[in-house]
Amino acid sequence: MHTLHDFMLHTEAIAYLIAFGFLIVFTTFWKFLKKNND
Amino acid sequence: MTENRRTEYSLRQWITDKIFLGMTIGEYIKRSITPFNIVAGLILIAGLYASIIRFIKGLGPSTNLSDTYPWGLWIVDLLNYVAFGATGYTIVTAVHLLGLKEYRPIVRPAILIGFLGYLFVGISLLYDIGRPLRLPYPLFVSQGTTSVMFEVALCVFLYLTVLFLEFLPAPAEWLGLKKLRGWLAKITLALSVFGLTLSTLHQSSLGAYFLIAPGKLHPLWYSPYIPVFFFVSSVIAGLAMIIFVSMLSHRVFSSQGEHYDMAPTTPQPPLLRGIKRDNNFDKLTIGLGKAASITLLSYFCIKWLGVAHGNHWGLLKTPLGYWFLVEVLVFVLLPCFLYAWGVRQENATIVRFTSMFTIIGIMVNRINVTLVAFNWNAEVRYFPSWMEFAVSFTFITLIILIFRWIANRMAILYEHPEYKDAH
Repeated sequence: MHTLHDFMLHTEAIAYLIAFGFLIVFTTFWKFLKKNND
Repeated sequence: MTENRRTEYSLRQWITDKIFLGMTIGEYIKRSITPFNIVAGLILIAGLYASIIRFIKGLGPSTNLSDTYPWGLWIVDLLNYVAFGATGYTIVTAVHLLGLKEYRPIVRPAILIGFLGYLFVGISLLYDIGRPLRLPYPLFVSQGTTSVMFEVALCVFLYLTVLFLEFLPAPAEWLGLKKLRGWLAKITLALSVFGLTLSTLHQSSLGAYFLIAPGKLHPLWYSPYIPVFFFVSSVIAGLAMIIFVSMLSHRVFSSQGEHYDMAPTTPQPPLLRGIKRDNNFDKLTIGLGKAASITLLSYFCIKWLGVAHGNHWGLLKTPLGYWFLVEVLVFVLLPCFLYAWGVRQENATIVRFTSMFTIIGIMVNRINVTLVAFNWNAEVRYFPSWMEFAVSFTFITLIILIFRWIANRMAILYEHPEYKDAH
């Protein structure tokens, strides 16, 4: 982690990946949850 | 003479109708003796004793605060009042600025919660600062314009005024002050914009307090993003609180609705009827749950941004790291999915249950930042004295009692029949 690039890659980039990953998980969860049609 | 007697009679009648809900004082006192009120009374007595000790003998004999821990339980309370007071700006913004008019029935309870929350922020500060009479100094005597505390003090002072003005239409209707009510309706939009601006500023600035203590706050909780954490979590707190309070109001005021029938001179419709007419209650709850779910997801993601920014992944394997994981996974991610589940199932009960869970989560976060993760490596840890607990419970009890007193008398949970469509 000596360069700004490495720093971004190892820290913020990971966080953005986490955010993106959880957005996908949440959207999938939302989409596939059975909608109540009563 | 006759005129005097008429005035006297009408004043007595007015007090009976407006203050004692159409009952005689004896009937009113008799009705007030309930298990809840007895417990509330005992808490207030303990709080009164603790308050006397605090104001006569000072902070030393009444609290466990020290130079290492100058911020204790009362500051945790204060942070919670501000967070849950966010109910006001969240719902007001949704209705008046974003045009979500279907949420209008919950605007007044939201404003009342906000107003009481911020009122008790001021009262908590009177207890917490060493020289309570100097509370107005930062605003009126010596403005420390370079301090974040000055910004928070100014915002809280101004926002409490805004909330008071936003709440004022309800007492104006109650007292029949039509002119004042009409004037207040005209400034609603301006107040909404001002309130949102002030809230955005001070909700985040409360988090910014901790920016000056990087060495004291545990790295997992300390982050340059902490103002953003505080602001986003305040939206979550506001949404959860209004869901929870709506649920409680529905139950509590349904059972109390009958006493309006005993007051034939009171023109207001029974609360019960007012609520039942609102068959959108579940729909509104689910809508709020949807907003809370999405906000929780955002909060969850930016919390990890904080960890990643400082590259503190290794600390997650420590005892405090496990506690951080509990906070983030159990009190943020789990309610996020529970809300989503409730929304998709169109099940308001799940959303209501999750709101209680979320409220606990926000409290845990504020306790963690102020007490658990603060001075985390200090040898001697702070634990509040019984008097600090007594004062805290007294404040919460007072908020509930004042909310109930107002909601029993003013048009908070229903629209006043004489002012329908007057917005």
